[in-house]
Amino acid sequence: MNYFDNAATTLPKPKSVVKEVSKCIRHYCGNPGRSTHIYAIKASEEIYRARESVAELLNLNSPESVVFTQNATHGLNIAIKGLVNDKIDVIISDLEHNSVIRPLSKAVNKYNGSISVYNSDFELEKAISPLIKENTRVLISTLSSNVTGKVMNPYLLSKIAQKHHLKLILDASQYAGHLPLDLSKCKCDCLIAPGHKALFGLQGSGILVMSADTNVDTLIEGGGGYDTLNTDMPHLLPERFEAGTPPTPSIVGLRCGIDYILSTGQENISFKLDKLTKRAYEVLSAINSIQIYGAENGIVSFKIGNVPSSITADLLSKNGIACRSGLHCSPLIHEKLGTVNGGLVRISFSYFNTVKEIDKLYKVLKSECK
Amino acid sequence: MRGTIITLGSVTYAIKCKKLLNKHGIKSKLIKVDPGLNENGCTYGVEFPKESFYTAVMILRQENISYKVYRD
Repeated sequence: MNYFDNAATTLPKPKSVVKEVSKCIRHYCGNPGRSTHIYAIKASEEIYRARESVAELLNLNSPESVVFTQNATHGLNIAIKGLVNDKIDVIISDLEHNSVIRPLSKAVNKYNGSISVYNSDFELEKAISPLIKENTRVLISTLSSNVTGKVMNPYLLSKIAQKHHLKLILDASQYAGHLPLDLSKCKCDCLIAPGHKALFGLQGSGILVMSADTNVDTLIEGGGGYDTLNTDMPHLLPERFEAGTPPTPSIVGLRCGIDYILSTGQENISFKLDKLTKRAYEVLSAINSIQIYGAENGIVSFKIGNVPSSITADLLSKNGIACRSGLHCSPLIHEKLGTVNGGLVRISFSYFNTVKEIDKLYKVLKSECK
Repeated sequence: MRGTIITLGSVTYAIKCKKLLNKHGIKSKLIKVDPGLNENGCTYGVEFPKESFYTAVMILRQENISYKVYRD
């Protein structure tokens, strides 16, 4: 099976991930931060090591600002519900996923606030500035659409947020591991990414990078293994947002995935994803009945005439090609593209895909479109 | 080792402290301080040789790491 659904979750994972996760669950996966025997200490140290790897990838000074979450949705819920806690206006892009839209809608409805949507086709300052109202306090933006692959500039978003004194939440779900990101040059309040996509970790892992001076309320409270007599969650990051037993094997896997990216070179990965995207765009463009709606950053979305995307995806699956069809949990972009009826077929690459696999996709679609 | 023990805010900071001190040649060990001996229950600490106390404190202050001396 050719796997082209990496925007959903990457498959396969690097061998180093498989090896170390297996070692963890066989040999050292105690409950970190609870006991003082070798298994608990080793688990605690491996989790700290994972924070250091994230810090290295994103050029952060302090590994302690890395909070581990279950996935990006969990991280986004913490950030959004922690920062949207009054009658305020929040600006989002027209590319947002339901992992932003749903918790934001709930928070805004609770406090009788409002949501303004900026057009991602326009230059960022021109798109965002006219939307700013007296009570606008937060800017949330994806850094890359999970439908079209369109990439937004995190450094510009940061400048705009600072200029207008807005809190900034960045969703790096389709960006982290695809493109270099230097957080020393991009001030944001919260940056979120899942561990199981281009960071090559396991499902059940994610990162929330939070600046120490961002005042975000906790979403979940519980045990942390120390300070037991205190009925409040700890004040310090990261434990403040990590109640309960962490998913140690998933975090270990995430660390190995990130170390794979660091040793391969983020630039090399970006280059290959770009090459695969261009090849896919080239071959699909050569088929008359295919309309391409987006081709960027490892993602290509298309449809064949008026054929519902699910039918095309089923056909591809029968021919050994895995992809995703439908609305991809991103309603706004599909409304904008006029593809709500029928949806789009999305093929999405990882560093492990090849040009040969794309050529097979072309042959299958060419044959179907005759 | 019966050295100096300092307590840190969390297991994360205790590990950070241990790694930092080890990096500067101060042999350190992660320990858990029992409840009843700390205001809010168990906490994590780092133990290192007494003679390294002033060097260790300087390193922690340079890195802005808060600590409390539990046993000197």
